[in-house]
Amino acid sequence: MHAQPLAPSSSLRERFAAVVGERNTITEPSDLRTYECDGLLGYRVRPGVVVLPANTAEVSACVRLARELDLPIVPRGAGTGLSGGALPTDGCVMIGLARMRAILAVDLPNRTVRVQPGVINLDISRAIGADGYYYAPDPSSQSVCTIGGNVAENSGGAHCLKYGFTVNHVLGLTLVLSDGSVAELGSRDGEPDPLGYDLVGVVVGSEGMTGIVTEVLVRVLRTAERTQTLFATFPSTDEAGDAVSRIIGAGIVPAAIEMCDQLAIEAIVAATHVDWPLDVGALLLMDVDGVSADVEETAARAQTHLRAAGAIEIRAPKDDAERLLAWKGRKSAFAAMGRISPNYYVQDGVIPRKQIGPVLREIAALGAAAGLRIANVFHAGDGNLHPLVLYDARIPGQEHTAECVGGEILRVCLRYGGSVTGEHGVGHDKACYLGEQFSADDLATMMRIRETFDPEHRFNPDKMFPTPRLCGDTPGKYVPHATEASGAAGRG
Amino acid sequence: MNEPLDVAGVVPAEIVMPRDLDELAAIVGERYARGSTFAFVGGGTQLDLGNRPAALDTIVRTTALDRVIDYTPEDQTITVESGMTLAALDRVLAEQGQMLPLDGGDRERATVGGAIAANLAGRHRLRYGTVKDMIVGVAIVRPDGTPSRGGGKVVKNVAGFDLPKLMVGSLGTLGAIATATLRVYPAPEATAFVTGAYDEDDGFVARDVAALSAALVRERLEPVAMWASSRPDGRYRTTVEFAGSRVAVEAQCRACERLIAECGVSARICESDSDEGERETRARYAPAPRIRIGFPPASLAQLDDLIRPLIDGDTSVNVYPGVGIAVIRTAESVDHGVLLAVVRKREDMTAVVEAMPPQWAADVDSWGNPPRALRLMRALKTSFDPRGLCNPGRYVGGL
Repeated sequence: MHAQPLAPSSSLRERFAAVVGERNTITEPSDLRTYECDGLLGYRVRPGVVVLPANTAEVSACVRLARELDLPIVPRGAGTGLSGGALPTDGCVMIGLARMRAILAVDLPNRTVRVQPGVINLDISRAIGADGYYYAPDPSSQSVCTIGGNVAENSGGAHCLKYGFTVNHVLGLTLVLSDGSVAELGSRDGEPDPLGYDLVGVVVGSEGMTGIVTEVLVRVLRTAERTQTLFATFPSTDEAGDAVSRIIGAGIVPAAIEMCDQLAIEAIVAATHVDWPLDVGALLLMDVDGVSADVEETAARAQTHLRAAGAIEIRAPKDDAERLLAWKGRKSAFAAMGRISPNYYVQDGVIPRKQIGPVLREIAALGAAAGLRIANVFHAGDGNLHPLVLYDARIPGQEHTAECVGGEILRVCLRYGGSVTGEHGVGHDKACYLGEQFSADDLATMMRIRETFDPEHRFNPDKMFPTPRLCGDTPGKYVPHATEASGAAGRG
Repeated sequence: MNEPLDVAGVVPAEIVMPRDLDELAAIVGERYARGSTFAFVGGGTQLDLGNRPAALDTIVRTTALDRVIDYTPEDQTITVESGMTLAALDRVLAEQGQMLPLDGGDRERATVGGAIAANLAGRHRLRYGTVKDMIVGVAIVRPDGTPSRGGGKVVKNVAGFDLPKLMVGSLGTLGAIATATLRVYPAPEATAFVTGAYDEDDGFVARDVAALSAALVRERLEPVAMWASSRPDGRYRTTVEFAGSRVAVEAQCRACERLIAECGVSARICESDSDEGERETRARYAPAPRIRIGFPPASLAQLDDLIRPLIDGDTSVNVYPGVGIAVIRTAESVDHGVLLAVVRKREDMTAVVEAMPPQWAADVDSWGNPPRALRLMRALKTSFDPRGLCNPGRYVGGL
């Protein structure tokens, strides 16, 4: 901390600056604009103050001060979240973790790494890659998103099919609670089965509503002996969906199976110049990894199923460069949408994976009825859909229509026994749909868990839990973001 | 129809056996409303785990809740009632060439709900993880009788707070597990074991066990299990288990054989029909007194140094090096109090008495030092069970 706390009569800025320093206290309206939204660009609310603490003690002091002032707190990582989990509450204290980006300890004999929350996901793998280890959860935004945000959202990614989500890779946490006290949860040094309730399992995915995570102990994995990527094209998403069902049903556990439909392929090819054919209805991108002998046999079996499902062409990249290029295409899919549409709305729903074909047909029908195109690029292996509803915000009413279509897509997912979110979180965007997935009693139980950590609803107060607010209501008047006005970013 | 049952010597006034989920909720709600204390018992295989209950009026036996609710082999998920035995679940899955990779335990008696509540984890956790990595959804009955769900039936799902994870290892202190949805896996085509020091005249010391474990990682082999069992002379016999496609199992067995030879110990490859697996299960789940130590995997040699002076040749030790677990069945000649105290002094280790003989109950805490976040755990318990009626006193820190 920089100085003694100031008198209560001092301004908000002065009081927080006394904790984190002048440079790390943001109150200028023009500077606050960056923090008005996260990756869900359609909603913006101005925070009262943004503070950028450097360590657990400063986070704790900021929380205590916010509590003294009775202000809500909204935590923020890199702001790449797609559900508005880091959307400010009006006048809140936003605690940004971007300065806490130290890798604190690498312990390869125990296969753990301890990091601060502002560390970029991919930087963990970069730090240990030369030794043959990596951090498994790989959201598409992994080159910019932070571990703290991943913990809040229980982030997934393409390779979660085999390796599990953030929650399966976080062993221990340091958490600042709403009274400013610091709790140490879970494993200390990589020992298994820490005593008592699995609070780590609860905090991961709690969307910033249990406290502020200031240290994370993650498990890292040895890279597989071999990885084989397969790329297959199909006449339509029906055959591609059938191929996924056949592969999973045959007992093959690939590291990843991703699907792109025709519209997504068009966007990706335009943006990245990968040499994917444009005259196909869908493609699958799949990784099989493990020990060499297994990979060869499994890849051969997978190819049989791809063919049986009606694959037009199957390619096996011949080296790592070709393999990584294909994955680069997949991971840049969302950004590539700008090539085919001025705006898009990303949805994130889950269905049982044997239902991909029929659900995609229903989604296409919803788009057709609304007069909007829908591209699909998603984690087919675990049934995690990402329909991208394309629209033009300049046409009055079209954005609202896109959001309504997005909502209807979630209802389709629920009708098939699925979930309203597989990895993006509920956040602000889907709070009103959580009540369609869970009963009032279910939500009341979840609220008990939340209030155990944060009885006053100090952290991220308006997220996840449905309120009487109707779906589609905006919390603030829409004003285009600076990057958007300049053409650097699209809404959605 | 109910056999007599006690929990750590405490005999309940009644044993009730709900026939369906509505009855489970009604029974729990009714007992809670009238202020009775209650505990949930499945197969009763883990009743030695945990401290003596502070009070116990009713045992709610879940074994009649044994139905499959939904099984979609193509999705590799299954939803079952909590009283179904692991053996019955194994049989249902085997018909479709699938399995729940949660091994161990007395499977003909142990139930799915009990396995979740006690966080049962056998040797295959090295590859497949624990219940936490398999559970995707749960329906519970809160102590006040309110049914509540969390998670779902799909393998990927981040909607809402993660109630399923919270139930894992909670020992029935937050309510009854009514149903669970689990992620299941294809059954492997082949299984084989590579045993080092198969014969009595050969053996590993702890440092070599650790070195072999590290070598398996270094060489990128993917065993489903590895364990070392002590012998009366203090040295270890070590087994590495591989499962998967036949060709991959064979290749890995040969590679593993070489790694063991590099430790200066003879190795033997045993096919799946050998009794290596059963030997492990018998030793792992030996009758009381049984202590489970958790340690950072790289601290195996340190742990060995710590406990070696305190045990003797009559004490059997099973070590799971890649996971960081050692299970000790102490001989009567061993001072268990000293052993527990020495391990529990280490902040990076835990020592849980998994199976406690009645004569220890008066002065031994099953769990040891309360975890660092006990305050939060107590608040959580109070929030779910404000009257403290649900399995009181059995859990960590007196919860």
